[in-house]
Amino acid sequence: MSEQTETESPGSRTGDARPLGLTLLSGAVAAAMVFPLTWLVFRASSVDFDRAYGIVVRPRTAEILGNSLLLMVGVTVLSLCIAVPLAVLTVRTDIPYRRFWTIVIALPLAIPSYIGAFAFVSAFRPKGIVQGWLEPVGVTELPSIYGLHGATVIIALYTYPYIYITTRAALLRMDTSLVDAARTLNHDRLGTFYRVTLPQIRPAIAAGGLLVALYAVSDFGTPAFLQADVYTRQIFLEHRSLGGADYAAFLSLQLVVVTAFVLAVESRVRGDETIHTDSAGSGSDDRIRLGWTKYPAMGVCALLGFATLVMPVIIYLSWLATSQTDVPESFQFSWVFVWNSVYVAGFAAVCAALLALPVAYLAARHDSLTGHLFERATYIGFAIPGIVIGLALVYFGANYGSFDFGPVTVGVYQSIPILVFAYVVRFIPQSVGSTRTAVLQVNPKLDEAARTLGYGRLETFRNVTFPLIAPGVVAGAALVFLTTMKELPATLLLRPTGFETLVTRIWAAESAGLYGYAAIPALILIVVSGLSLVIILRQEDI
Amino acid sequence: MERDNDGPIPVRLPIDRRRFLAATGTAIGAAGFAGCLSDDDGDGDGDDGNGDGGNGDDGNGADGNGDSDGTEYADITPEGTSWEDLPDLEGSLTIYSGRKESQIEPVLRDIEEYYDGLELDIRFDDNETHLSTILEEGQNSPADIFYTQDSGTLGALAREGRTSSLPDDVIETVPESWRDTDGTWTGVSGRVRCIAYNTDTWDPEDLPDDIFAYADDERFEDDMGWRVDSGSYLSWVRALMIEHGEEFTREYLTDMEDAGVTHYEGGSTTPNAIAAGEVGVGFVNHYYVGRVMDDQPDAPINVTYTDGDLGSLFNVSGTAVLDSSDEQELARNFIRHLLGSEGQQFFVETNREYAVIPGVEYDHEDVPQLEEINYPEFDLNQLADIEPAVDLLREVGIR
Repeated sequence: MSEQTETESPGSRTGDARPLGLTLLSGAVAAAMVFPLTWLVFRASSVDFDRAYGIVVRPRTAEILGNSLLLMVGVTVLSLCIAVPLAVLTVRTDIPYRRFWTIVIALPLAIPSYIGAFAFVSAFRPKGIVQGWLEPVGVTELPSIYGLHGATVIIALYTYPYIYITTRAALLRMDTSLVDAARTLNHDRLGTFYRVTLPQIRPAIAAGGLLVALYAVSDFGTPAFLQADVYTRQIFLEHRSLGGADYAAFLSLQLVVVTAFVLAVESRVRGDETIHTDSAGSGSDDRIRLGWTKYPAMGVCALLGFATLVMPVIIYLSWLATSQTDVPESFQFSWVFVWNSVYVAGFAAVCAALLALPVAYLAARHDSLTGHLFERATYIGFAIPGIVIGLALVYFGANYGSFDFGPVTVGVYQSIPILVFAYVVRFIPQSVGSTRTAVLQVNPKLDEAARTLGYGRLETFRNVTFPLIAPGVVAGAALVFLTTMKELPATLLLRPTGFETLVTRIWAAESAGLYGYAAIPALILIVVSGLSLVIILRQEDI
Repeated sequence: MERDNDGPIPVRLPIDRRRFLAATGTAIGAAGFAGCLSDDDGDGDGDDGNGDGGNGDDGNGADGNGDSDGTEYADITPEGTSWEDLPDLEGSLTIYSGRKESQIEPVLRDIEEYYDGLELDIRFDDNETHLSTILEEGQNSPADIFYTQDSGTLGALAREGRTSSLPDDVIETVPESWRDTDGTWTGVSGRVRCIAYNTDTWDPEDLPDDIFAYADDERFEDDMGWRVDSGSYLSWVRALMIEHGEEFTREYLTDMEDAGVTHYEGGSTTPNAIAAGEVGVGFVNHYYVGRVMDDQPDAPINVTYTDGDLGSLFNVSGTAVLDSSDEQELARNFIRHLLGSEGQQFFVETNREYAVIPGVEYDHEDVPQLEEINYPEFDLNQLADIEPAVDLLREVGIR
């Protein structure tokens, strides 16, 4: 059994004749994902040049750009610091109740940022709940939660699970026999981690980090609550200026440029990615023994879960307890909301997983420029605020979304298909990233062996590669599922009339100031997301 | 800097003049035509109301709605017309509502349930998102009626040429400054900007009744908040510019910035911040506060009004029929229902808003009656072009 990381044969990735069918398929997916953005160009081109120029050159533009970049870097770094140690803790140590903690740590991803930010602001605002607790002990002023720093911390607390989930999956798939080997060669644990583990999980960390960075610049709710002046806030103020969508589109294009830059940078830094090994075994099950440190370790997990999950629910429930308003009947909870949420999210997850497959496979296996371009292109929709994607699809759906089939006319506008398409455009990079990382961890020699034994390309994929990457594909689909469950702006724009989901009910209650009525749908959103995580993690655990 | 401490006293005001005129002018309307409701009305109205772009000579005069088969219905009048006397509604309407579901759905559903053959598809979202949506949809918009929280959004839609004419009786019933002068949109309920304050930290007697006094009164430094992301705030700033000029408004906004006013986003955020004691004073629409007071009766928050300046600007929520709708007559009749007695009564009783017709009783004490507020005369039609306000706010750094 060879115990070496394979680095010597990048040829095996490009050696095949260029797979034309796969390239075309992948290109078609990328084109479909980028297509709604043509609306941005089209809309932005109708802005008044002088006014647009005035917006770009004013000094605050530099400030806003600086703030957006600071937010992005801050959130990414903070998320890394939270997620990577927790991934190691829950995979490589003997922490008790491992599965429970895994779910607790991954679950903040399911909480919409507007709920999390609202709860944090209620708790930590000047004269808020926490200050009320501390006043008896003489603390009369807390450091202000408002501003860029507050937004950075809160967004990080709800997006670090991207890195946690991808890193955890990579740690589980990793060939631990390498770690055993390093340990026998007298490396200490930390040294082994840096020299052996880290290089293997680095692409997974980078894939998660990219999602965190792009999410940070596209989030609107949290910066708005925390009065942080970043790009999305400008886009929304412009959107709210009654001038149509021109300037919002114009500013969004600038965001696309920033995104393209980030994607290019990440491409550079992720470096050599041949991370598979030749061995099939997964080594010994040697988990780090925590001893007494398991108590503080569990304490940290519990604290994080309390702050991100329990506190928001308690705050909403406390509103429910004091609420006196007679609300319309439509605010009464119905299980239809749950079913609607689950079913559109499930639909979007399956579509995203299927569409991501060719893109991710091509990019991982064939080191061609086109493959990489296609893969990067699918990421752009993730950094564009949902309302902008939504309006683009409103335009296309209302004006070109009607198809005549002889006697029957089918309209896709304000229907489930166009809604699901919007979700896929926004969230497919989560699937692409996760699937691509999984493909990278499969040794292409396995494919070659299968081909030598007479399998066709498709048969090889189906019988050899797919079973190996399935956990990665499922993890990616799960991410899409969780984020779709909480998506709001595109849902409001494109849903069929009367189609109510958990988030549309949360929104209706919250925008009416009836926070208590947001409590139950929010609680159920968390429970359903938690259950889906249980199912997913069960598949993944070995 | 001491201010006279008499605060905003309830004053009886000049508004009564216009309401009086409105009330007497067309008083002879309704009574005689309380026609029995024939069941084939609704969309059978044929030619009598569909002339886009021109109203006035379409047979809907002050003498009732002539139906093609001779059945006559009552007009909308300032003293109130019962739904019973209005044309039947039959068919299906799509309404884009920028008003909140919690506030407006009950009255819309009341109308729907009042008729067997009426079906309403209501989509809720923000005013501005709906406006953008309609503009993106173009002539293919499924919407028949656009229902907004403030007049600015309707003015913007009218400016894009996307609204169609309303019938004469509607135009004659609603005071001119609360509707489109061209008669393509109308206010259906009113709200007043107010000073909301935390009752633990402020006595109403200590609050100036001059909106501009807050900007350079040291007592309010770092203790004020307002919502900056709404169409109604934009309308308000635009109103300041029209009334007092750009230079004055710039100075005022800059002074407010220097005084450390907090910029909130989202409808109830400012009232909540005041109730929580984060800031002591905020400048908002009265019904947002009414909502918090309703929902959380123990919250230490109340409202007061400035005296005769734009600090108590009266604005309307309103409706328009889209030019692209193929249910023009049904949509107009629906708006008549909102302006009818039961509709107007709902706004007053349930929503704590103000009626746009005089013939409605106010029998609650939560918010002052409109007569008690000295709100300035202001023609809301001037607020259609909002862009100068956007640019000014950007210039002073609020946006």
